[in-house]
Amino acid sequence: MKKILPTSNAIIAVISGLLVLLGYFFPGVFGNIQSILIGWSIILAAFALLLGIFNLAFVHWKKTKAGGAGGINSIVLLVSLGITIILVSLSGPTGALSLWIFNSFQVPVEISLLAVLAVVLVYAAARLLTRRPKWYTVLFLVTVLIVLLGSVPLFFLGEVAPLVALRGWLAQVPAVAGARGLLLGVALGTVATGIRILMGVDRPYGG
Amino acid sequence: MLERISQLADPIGVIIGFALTIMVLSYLIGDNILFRLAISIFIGVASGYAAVLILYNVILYQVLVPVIQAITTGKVDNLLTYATHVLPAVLLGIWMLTKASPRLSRGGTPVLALLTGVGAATVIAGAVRGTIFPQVGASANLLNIQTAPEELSRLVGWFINGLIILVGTVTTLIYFKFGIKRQEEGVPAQHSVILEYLSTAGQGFIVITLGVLFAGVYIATLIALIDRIQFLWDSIIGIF
Amino acid sequence: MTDIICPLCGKPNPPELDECKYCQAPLNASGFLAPSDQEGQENPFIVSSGDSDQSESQGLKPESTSPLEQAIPDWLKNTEANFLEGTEAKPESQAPDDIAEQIDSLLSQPSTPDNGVQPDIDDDWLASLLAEAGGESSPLSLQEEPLDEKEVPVNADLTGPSVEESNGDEGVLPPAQIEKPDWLTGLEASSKIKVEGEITPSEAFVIGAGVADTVESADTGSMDIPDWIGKIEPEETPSDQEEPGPQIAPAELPGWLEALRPDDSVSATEPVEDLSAADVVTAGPLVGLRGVINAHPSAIRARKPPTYSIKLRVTDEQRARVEMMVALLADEQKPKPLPSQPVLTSRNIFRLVIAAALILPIAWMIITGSQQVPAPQPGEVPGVVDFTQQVQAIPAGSPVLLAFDYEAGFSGEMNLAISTLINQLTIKNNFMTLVTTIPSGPALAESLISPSTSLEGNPGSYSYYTNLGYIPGGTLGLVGLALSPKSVLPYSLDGVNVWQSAPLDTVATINDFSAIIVLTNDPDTARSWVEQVGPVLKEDGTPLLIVTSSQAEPLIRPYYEANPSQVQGMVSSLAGGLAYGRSVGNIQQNGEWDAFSIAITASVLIILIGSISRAVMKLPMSGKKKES
Repeated sequence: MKKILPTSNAIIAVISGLLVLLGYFFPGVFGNIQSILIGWSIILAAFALLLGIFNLAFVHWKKTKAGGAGGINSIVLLVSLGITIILVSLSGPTGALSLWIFNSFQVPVEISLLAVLAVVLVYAAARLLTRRPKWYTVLFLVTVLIVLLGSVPLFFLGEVAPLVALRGWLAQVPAVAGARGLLLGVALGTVATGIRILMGVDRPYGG
Repeated sequence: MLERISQLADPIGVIIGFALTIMVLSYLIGDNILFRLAISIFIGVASGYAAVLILYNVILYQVLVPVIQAITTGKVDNLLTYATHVLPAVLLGIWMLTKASPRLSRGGTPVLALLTGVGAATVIAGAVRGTIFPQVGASANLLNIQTAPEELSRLVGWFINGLIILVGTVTTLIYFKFGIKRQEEGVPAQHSVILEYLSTAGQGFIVITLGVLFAGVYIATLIALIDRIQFLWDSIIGIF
Repeated sequence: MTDIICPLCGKPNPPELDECKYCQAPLNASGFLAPSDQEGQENPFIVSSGDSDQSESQGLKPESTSPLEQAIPDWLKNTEANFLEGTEAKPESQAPDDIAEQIDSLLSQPSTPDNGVQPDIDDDWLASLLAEAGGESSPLSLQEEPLDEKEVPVNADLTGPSVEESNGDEGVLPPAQIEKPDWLTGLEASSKIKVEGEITPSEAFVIGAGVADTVESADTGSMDIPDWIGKIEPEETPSDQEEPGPQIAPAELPGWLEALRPDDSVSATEPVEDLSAADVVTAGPLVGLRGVINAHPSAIRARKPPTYSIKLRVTDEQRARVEMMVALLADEQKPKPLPSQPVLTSRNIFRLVIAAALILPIAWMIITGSQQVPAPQPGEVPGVVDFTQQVQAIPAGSPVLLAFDYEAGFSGEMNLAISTLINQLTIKNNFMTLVTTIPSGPALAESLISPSTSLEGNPGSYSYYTNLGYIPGGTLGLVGLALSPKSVLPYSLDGVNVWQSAPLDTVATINDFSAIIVLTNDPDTARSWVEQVGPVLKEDGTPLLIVTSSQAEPLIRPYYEANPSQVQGMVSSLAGGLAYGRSVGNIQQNGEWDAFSIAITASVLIILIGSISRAVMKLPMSGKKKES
């Protein structure tokens, strides 16, 4: 039984993946089954998200029962989760109350987290040369400075044309080259990983 | 009463936003309980909203309402479509909920396998059709004479830029070292000297790209900081 | 039944045993068996009357296949035969009294020294030999007579006639008179005969003398002295009979050889040390010797092996150290709580200083409301012009798909461009179909569009849009949307089936929209749209436009710069939003642009000062390291 289950799981993954892939090459023959499988997957993804939220609540519920230092944070989380579910369910996802909750609680915190990140990033950039600098460290720092200086007219100096031009060239030529290489590399890696899954070599679903 | 509440909602919302902004910005001093409370509230609200959205968008409007309408209208085609497209997915979704239980967790693995297989095929097709073919074609067309500008001054710049982009793309891919044989432990990988130089050049292009990305991230966060300071100032002005 | 006396320990054992039950020494191999008790077993050393003829004819060797019999050397066998012959040939001339004395001396226990132990071993084989000899003319003594070469010719003399006589006189009874050879005398001297228990001299004599009729004497102490014993003549010493050989002149030895010659005054056989006070061995094969290790088993007393305690001897100090080690190891397994760090550390202070250096100029610009920094032009920001043109090319009143796939945290950066876009679409009265692949998208979209102004000019009255909500599954959802948007999102969030009414009733696939505008801050989301939806749009030429953040712009640029282009227009960051606003005629200055400018200046200064100061501080330290 221990060997049958993983094998059957792998067979399910391989067959379903092959059917969807064949739907791209032969839409007339496999198009219907492809759309059915994709439709199922979309609904299953929604159930997976529900499962994740339930697991989050369960973990924090256990933390609350266990007590300790993180107990109060878990209580706050569970209370806010419960109140939000009740109010948004009553109002609807785009109701006035839902939008009020979203704009009053979620938006300020998200933007503030990003704002704190700005201080952390500039602190990290200022300490970049703390360790023994190598050529790519210096190149990285120089690139950052050129892009920053060329993105906006400086307050005391105004717009420095060479910097703006250099910034434009950097963003359009070497950065595009590197980005294209990165995108191609990522795509090739994605294809390799996907083929490994379709061959049953990799089983990320735990089979 | 409701009007009164709706009138007060905005100021109350502003006060709440102000307080939460200060609680999160207190992280600049160091990790503290105010920051953690703010994060807990944020996670609770975001998770709750997402849960309700799923219930509305999927459970209600894709599962329940179609079947009710199909039954009420009596259209067999709709029922057949529902039976093939939706009902098996709902049953599979309920089966997948066994993952929540540690004892029954292994039972939900076939559903995850189905999801993984379909997802893998989708990303393979997308990567090939959407990135590899078009981007390789774009790299090949960089020095396409048909797209060359007519002015000589611009032609030189066009050619040099195209060459740099082409070389940069290739050297970046060389840096990733696709196709190198797996080496035994302790045995250093032996590469060609030319490949090593090209790989170093690719590393330089990647470093420039990462530098531009870092600058972009910093700009986005800086604008968020500006937005928060603006909000705080507007709130103070509004309160007082 | 006569028990077998063990040759090693001297204890009696039942005859059926092969090994002594006391010391496990072999019994049968040594041949130490009582001669009268061997029923049916021929003893090579004991000659019975019935077997005497056979023994004589066979040279005193009865038919026996015993290993002991086979181990007896031939010269001994011949000597036995000579004995018997000698006793036949020579008449008994010994006086009866002497004979009786000799017999008595044979039968009585040998004298033991005062400190000696009564011997436990019964040399029956010797008794049997003596019995064969029919008594001795000379008394038994403990004199040690070295067996020298003179005994050989004596034996030979004895052997010779006895052989002749044995050949000629077969069936003759055992000799009446036996001449005791020197070797026997020597053996007598070196051994002690013990007569013990069941074995009686009379029985030994009965067997040895070859008396045909076994006489069971009720009186075990009485002895039957056969006639032939009385006829035993005094033994003639071999030295008397021996003719002296020709005298050999001693050789003249060299001086050094003479020096090597041992001192004749000291006997070679005498022990170096005085052993007169040493114990005499009373049992075993070395019986009678002095100064040797007693082979008696009692000398080696079998003791119970000492039991050693397996308990480890641990001192108090060692125990204390062990407990300390155990406590240390137990602490290792316990998760240690992290030490509470002080609120104000050098790192936190430095970070506060940097935060103040950033926040204060920004706050100043916002408070003062400065708008001095010029906004960027549309041509200065790549992608804005194409974006503007594409949007302007959208037919009025046609459905447009807007994908709100950006996080609320990037609202400050992207809301400017999105607001301008929505404004443009409302002006053209395009039907905005709102979708999203992230959970916070519907709320964001609703927050941005609901305050829009309608054509009538009333804020918040614009209703020519529909919010279809959230598409789960990420990439899978986009594939489903590209194939059939109606099946993925059949109803809007308000519960209305928008696909049954205009203008979406004409939309069957995603190509039927006039434009697909993706609003995202994530480069992966943008890539998913380009990979999954882009190939479908390409067939009909539906433009794919992207409004993005500055963090995703470098990775979306290759799709925009590609030839043929996969993204037909792009607006990124605050600069792109301002440029796009200027392109559509919105030249309103933004206070955030000035704050952004001063923030960038301050940031560059912080990075430069921090990097230079760290590099300068490290120079002397690296110099010191090199010197060391």
